[in-house]
Amino acid sequence: MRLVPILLAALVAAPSLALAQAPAPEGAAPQAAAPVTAAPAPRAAPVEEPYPQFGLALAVGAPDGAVLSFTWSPLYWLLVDAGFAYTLAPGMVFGLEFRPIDFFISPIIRGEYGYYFAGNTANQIKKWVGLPEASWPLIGDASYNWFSGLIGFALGSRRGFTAALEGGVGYLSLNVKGGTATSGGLSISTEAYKVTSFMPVARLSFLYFF
Amino acid sequence: MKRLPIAALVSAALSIAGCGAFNVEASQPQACLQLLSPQTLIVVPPVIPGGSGKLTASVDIGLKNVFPGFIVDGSPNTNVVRFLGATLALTGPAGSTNQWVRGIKVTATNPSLPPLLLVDYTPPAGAPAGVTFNIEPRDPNNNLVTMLQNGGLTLDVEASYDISSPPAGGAWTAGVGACFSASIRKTFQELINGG
Repeated sequence: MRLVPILLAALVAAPSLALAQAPAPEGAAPQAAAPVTAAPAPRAAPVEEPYPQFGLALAVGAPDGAVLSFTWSPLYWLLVDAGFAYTLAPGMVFGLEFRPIDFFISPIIRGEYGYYFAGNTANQIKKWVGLPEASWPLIGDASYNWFSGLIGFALGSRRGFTAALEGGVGYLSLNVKGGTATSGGLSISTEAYKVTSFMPVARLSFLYFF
Repeated sequence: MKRLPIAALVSAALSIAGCGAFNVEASQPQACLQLLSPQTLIVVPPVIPGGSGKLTASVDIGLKNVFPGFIVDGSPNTNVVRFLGATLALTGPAGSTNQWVRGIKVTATNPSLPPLLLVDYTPPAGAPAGVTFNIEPRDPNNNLVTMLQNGGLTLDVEASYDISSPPAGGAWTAGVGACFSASIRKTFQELINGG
């Protein structure tokens, strides 16, 4: 379709060009060359479709658990996301991600922060640590948070669906409130426990831009 | 062709190094126990005329009910349980004071280990006749984790007196409280190995 105006312009310009090139009759005064009235139309640059800015992602990983997040990408190589998560308790996960190459396969550099509220975590801890049931009140509500840095790769289209696999290291902090219990003729009271871990992290995610 | 074994070797080396670098730390800065029923003190009269006598009590503190098994049952290299201090409330007949106390000793005992002196306290001269003694550990760095294993830990409490100023006659009891801290640090490699 873009060829049509070019052909039309060529047809209009052809007689003028032929006249200009014809030899002048003898005795005639030299004339200035006739001006070219029609020039070829400028070639239209192909219109680049903008990258979609918003996406929805589903991720599973450790220590993330399952995360449903909303992604905003102001630049094709920069992604910011915030999501709702659940493992032993509900939580939130925030991420900042760089995908420097727009190709079917792209490297990923990602930083992440997660916070999980007190939910069922304390009950699981009581079972895991093997504390006698009479001493369970010594373990109060437990919440945890972590920071992590990951690298990985994504497969798919930046304008549609991508799947990504990432791994890295993280620092997790579990905060457990203390409590008071009576056991074996003793009154026992504990201060808050703290458990920290420098640990490997991994994440598998699926992202769809719309 | 040589790249594959090298890659596998590097991968394995990184994994092993990672397991050594990754770790878990847990800490309980303070857990305090208080006997619900005061212990009856046994009067031990001076063994020599003019010597000192003592009142003693043996207290079985259920620390295993306080700290989870993974803290108590580990190696002393990675698991630490420390004695932070104790309170001793001596109660005698009506009107009696604690001015007779010349010293307090608390010893941790375990059937299969030599006793460990935790407290060797001497009340300062002219101290008021207080009801409760707050006593500090003799060495705050003592690790009791081994004593908590193999039969458990018992605290022997002893209050000594001079024969010149003995405690008032009658039944004496001791309310005993003690505070401990616990911590554990293990690498992933140690956890994988079951250490």
